[in-house]
Amino acid sequence: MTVILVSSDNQDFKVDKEVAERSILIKNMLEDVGESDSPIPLPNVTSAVLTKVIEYCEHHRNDPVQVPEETDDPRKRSNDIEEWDMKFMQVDQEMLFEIILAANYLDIKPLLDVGCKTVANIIKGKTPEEIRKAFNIVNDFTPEEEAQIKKENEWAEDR
Amino acid sequence: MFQTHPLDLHEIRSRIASNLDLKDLATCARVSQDWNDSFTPPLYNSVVLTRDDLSMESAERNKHLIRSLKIQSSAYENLSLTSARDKVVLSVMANSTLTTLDLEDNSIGDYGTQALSEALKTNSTLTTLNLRDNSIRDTGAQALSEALKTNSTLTALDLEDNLIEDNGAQALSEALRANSTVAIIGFMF
Repeated sequence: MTVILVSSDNQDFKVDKEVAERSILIKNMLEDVGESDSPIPLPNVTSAVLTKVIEYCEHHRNDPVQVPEETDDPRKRSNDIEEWDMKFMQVDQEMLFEIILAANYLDIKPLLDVGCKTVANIIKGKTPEEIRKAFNIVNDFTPEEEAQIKKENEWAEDR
Repeated sequence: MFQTHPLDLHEIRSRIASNLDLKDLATCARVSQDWNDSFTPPLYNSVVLTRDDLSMESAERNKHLIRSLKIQSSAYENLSLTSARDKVVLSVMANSTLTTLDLEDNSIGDYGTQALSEALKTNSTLTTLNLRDNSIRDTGAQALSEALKTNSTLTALDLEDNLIEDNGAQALSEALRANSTVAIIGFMF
């Protein structure tokens, strides 16, 4: 069985139901609607991004359904990104964030995790200023506030 | 372009935070006020206090975020007054998030145990308390026993390698009859 997904720029994507259901949002929609072949509009996802998302879901179509994650200690979660996912995420930063937003909206947790891990890898080892520069973030601290926070958390920076 | 940038979402930032180590979390907490809100809690989720005095103060200021606290003897040795450590322990205990407190090998003694016991009476979040190797004698054990009679959240109490003798043991075994949630580890009755 196939379903038709419609991107924000009105392109139709015909995909296997099993692939589309990697998205919990779509899975729930399909369950609510029952047997129906009416297209599913995804007004928040452009065709460029949807192409990538479907590529991911195709590759992971046979993965076991999301194992319960989020242990109490977040440090226990692994930073490893499998090779295919790593290559898949080699996109420009705008696309990376588009994918994260889409994964968040479509509720595809494994893709969201891979996206967030990729951003974490960009952050690692950078200074606050380098991070601001990388992501275009405005520093809204006064110099005094920033110095205070630095002092407070110094113990962690020495590790 | 983005209607909302994902880095503007707290949920996304928290997800990113769960993949960073302490050093990078500390860096992220300095990026902006929003980032500070997202990256400070995981930084203080599980705190191990070592040699550094500053981290003691930081721990106290961020006590509302701490779920697990471990104080190593090296941190204690660096303090001139044991009361400084006891003060941190008690103020962290007074918060409502701490679930694990590990004071192994800290020589807190009877005095420290008594203070801790008072705090235990009103605490309702702590589930694991490690007091292994702390020079606790009968007086401390009796104070703990009193606390166990009113505390019903603690599930594991480790008292191995202390100096508890008959009187303390008897008080503890009486407390265990009144308290059905706690298991005392490393202690023979």
